[in-house]
Amino acid sequence: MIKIENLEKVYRTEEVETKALNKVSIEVNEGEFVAIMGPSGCGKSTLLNILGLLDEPDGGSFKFIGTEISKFNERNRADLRKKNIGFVFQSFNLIDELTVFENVELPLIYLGVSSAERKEKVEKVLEKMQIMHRRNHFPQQLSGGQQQRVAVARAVINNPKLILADEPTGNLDSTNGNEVMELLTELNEAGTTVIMVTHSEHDARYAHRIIRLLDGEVVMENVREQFSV
Amino acid sequence: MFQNYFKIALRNLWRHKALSAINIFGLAIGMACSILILLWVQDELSYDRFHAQADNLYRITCTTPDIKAAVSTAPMAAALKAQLPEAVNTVRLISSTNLFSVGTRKFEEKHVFFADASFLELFSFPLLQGNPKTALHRPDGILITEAMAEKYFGKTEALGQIIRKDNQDDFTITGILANVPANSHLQFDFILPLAFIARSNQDLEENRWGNFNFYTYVQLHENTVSSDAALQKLNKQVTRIFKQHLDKMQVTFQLQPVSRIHLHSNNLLRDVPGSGSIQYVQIFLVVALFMLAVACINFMNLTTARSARRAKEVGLRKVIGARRDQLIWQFLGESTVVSILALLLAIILVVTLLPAFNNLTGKYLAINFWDVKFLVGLLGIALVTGLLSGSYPALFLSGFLPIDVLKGQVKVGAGNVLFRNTLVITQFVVSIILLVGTAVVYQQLYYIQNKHLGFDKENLVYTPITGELWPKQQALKTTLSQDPLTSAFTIVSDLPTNLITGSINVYWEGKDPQAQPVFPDMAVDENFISVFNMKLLRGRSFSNVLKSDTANYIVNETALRIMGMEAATAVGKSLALNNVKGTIIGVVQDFNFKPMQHAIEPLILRFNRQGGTVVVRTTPGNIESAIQALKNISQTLNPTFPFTYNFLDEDIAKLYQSEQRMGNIFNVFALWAIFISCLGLYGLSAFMAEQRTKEIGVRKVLGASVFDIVGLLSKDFVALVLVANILAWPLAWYGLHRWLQDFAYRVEMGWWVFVLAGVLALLIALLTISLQAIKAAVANPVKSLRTE
Repeated sequence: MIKIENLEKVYRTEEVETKALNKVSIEVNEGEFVAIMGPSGCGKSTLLNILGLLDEPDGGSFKFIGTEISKFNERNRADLRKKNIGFVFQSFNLIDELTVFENVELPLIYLGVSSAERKEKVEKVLEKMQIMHRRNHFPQQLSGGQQQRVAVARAVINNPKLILADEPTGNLDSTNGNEVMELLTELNEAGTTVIMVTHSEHDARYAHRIIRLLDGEVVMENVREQFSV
Repeated sequence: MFQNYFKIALRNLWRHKALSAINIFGLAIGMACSILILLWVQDELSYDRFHAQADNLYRITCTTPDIKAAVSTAPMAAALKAQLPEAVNTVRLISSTNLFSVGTRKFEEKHVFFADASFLELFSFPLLQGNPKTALHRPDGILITEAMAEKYFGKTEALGQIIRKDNQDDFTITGILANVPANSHLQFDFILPLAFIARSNQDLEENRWGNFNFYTYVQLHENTVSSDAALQKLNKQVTRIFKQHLDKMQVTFQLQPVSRIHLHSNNLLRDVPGSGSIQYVQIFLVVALFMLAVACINFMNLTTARSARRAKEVGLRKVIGARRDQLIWQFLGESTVVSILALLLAIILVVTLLPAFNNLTGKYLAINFWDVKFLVGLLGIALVTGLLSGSYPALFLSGFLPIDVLKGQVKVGAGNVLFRNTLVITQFVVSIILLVGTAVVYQQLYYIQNKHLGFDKENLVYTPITGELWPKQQALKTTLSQDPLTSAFTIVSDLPTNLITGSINVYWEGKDPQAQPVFPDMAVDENFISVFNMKLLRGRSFSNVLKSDTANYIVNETALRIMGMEAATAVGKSLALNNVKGTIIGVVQDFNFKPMQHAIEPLILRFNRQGGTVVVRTTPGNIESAIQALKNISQTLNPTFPFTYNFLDEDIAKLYQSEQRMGNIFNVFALWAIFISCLGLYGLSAFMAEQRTKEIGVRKVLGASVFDIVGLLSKDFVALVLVANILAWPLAWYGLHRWLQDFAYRVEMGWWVFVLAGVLALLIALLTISLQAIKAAVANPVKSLRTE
């Protein structure tokens, strides 16, 4: 599904040049659950942003479902993104001015889905995330776990092929964190590819495969069987 | 999608109530000011467009080397109809003041016209009763307006009734006209047939080509091209027709479109009263735009200042799939929602303020909410305001990169700060210009109203000589001089306030035969110079015992200059005015007999044999009793005419009504512009203080005083207002310099006016900012540091 080869990303300031990604090559197949790990500053968020089509690489190739997209412009990337990718963030990133229902509905609006169909879909996913009773609340009125469930609901509302999760449990206690991990696992079992950046070895165990980065390079890839107890 | 935008817009407004209030209130005031001004402008531009033939109607004006005048000669109308193929119809008007009476109801009426029978064929003044085709055909027929019908006849039917003019001539009412619209340059209550005075008016009787006393209007064929070139050609033809009858006179004629009369008759002599000025329309249009711009700037500034808070939303929407153009539309939609809310508030403000505004402008403006054009105009204002004020925030906010937002790296870039500063400067430039404008306009007003005119205008009360007073002039003069309250009197043909007559028929020894300067003239008596406290430089005043003085003249200094004479030797030289040969017996010091827009012109004073007005000099404590004495004299000698009086200085003050109004309007809008700017500044400084909470906390912990903090927060804004001053001064100077050019007598613009306006703006700005700065400065630093 995703194939990157020799991907490079360089950050420049006036005096310093930092290689955030140095010739990274990764392949992720459809239906996989991949965790990306590494210490702070190793380039994992940069990688996730490029995979999420939010950022452009400076070199290398990036094939997304067979299409080379490293040269896509912003508009094409936005288009590809809204049809195929769902995001889950550490800080939930819900829009404060919108209710739970409206936050989840938003991607469908940008896809041009009709109002009746939106209602049906949103209600279905809210049921599934067990947050239906909170549909008319605003994000500030929810607990962290509830907010992240809303964020997951929003990420999956348009049935994306890929979910990118950036430290999805980073702001949650262990109970809520586990719930979110269960949710992601369920989605993955239903066929969605999941790529997750995490610091937590515990969370990484939910993944099929772990890619470890250090200083912008892949240092190790291991499948679950090799490290599971 | 729009529903979603709308929802977010409303929730955002509700969430930041204070800021929204500042935004909406500021915009509403700006819009209300603009709507009021535009109502005024629309009214000024609407003059005389209601005539069905408005596009084909022209007034004949004339130009000599010295003057331009709104009048033409008596035979011109008939000649045009006969000789100008384009002329379909013509009408002549002459204005008059008459006494009308019905039974015991008796009033002096100043809005009277004598007109040719074709009057209603050219002009579309609706006749409510009577036959428009024949209404002015009988020489003793009269048209009166609805208001007059009620004034003289009450509820009884006025049509067909008799009304008496000047206690002697009976007229039959042949038509009732609708009241004349306020936006007509012709304002009248009575129309009488010109045929009635055909035998008593010498111009009409003798078909005189040399006397310019009639307003002449011509209706051109509707296929006539009204381009400038075509009009020029017609002007030449009209002038040629005149020259066929009187070729030695240096005069040309112009066709002035009727719809341009109200605003384009500046400096036109003998014009109908009440004309406006296109210059003021332009000035106020600019002021309207200024006000709207100042209000829009608030919106732009506050919205961009708050941009960091919206950044997260922008980033998320983009992550989820929003395109930039969709976000631009979202923000434009939000600003339009705000501007529509502001419009609603503005309409309430306009409706509330309209009476006060009418008072300020001397108009009767009304709002017609069923007028589609007006509603479209309002919506247009809201839309333009919304799009304009939302444009920068929309472009700026929608440009955030989601990746930066998610990393928390949204930088409120230097460009944004520069832009915001530019906007604040612009606001203060506008405010300072309006402040300087107010000051200079008032200074000029004070100057022209208090400049010494060459005579003493205070305590002069006058009453027109009507009815039997002039035939009984000996008795009048005797009784006036016997009462110490009225003994300082003079009888003059015209008041030296706005003298409109003039003659080129002046001859003296050594005159260049080619030159035709225009000499205004006044008929005065032996007391004129002493009663008006004028200064006689040479010779003597008129004498009531010397018979020869009826053909003698007193001239002013300017007349001497024009004639190339010296004051020392002028007395005794011969002078002829309108073919009356006489001698110069005195030279009077120059005095103003026209409004201050005009420089003093050459003036000839001749001996009064025609009546006019009695002017009495009173003393401050005796004014009431002097008026009573005048009244007694008038009612004894002239019992059938009502007694009326006025004060000369009040007449002079009225000459500057439009300048006075402009001053007042400037004043009001300057204050509002400053208020709106400060509203924005208040919001902006609140935001700045909030953004620098941590910095303020650290500084306080390190020992900064409240004063230091206030200084820190105010410094930047003070710099902006100073820059605004530097930009505003030359602009204000240029605009006011041009305005002052219209006055022959004008104030010097002192540098201190500019400095004062600047300091005032600075102080107001400082006061506004300090409200927020002090609040931030006294806050507990521990609290602000903890929140970080």
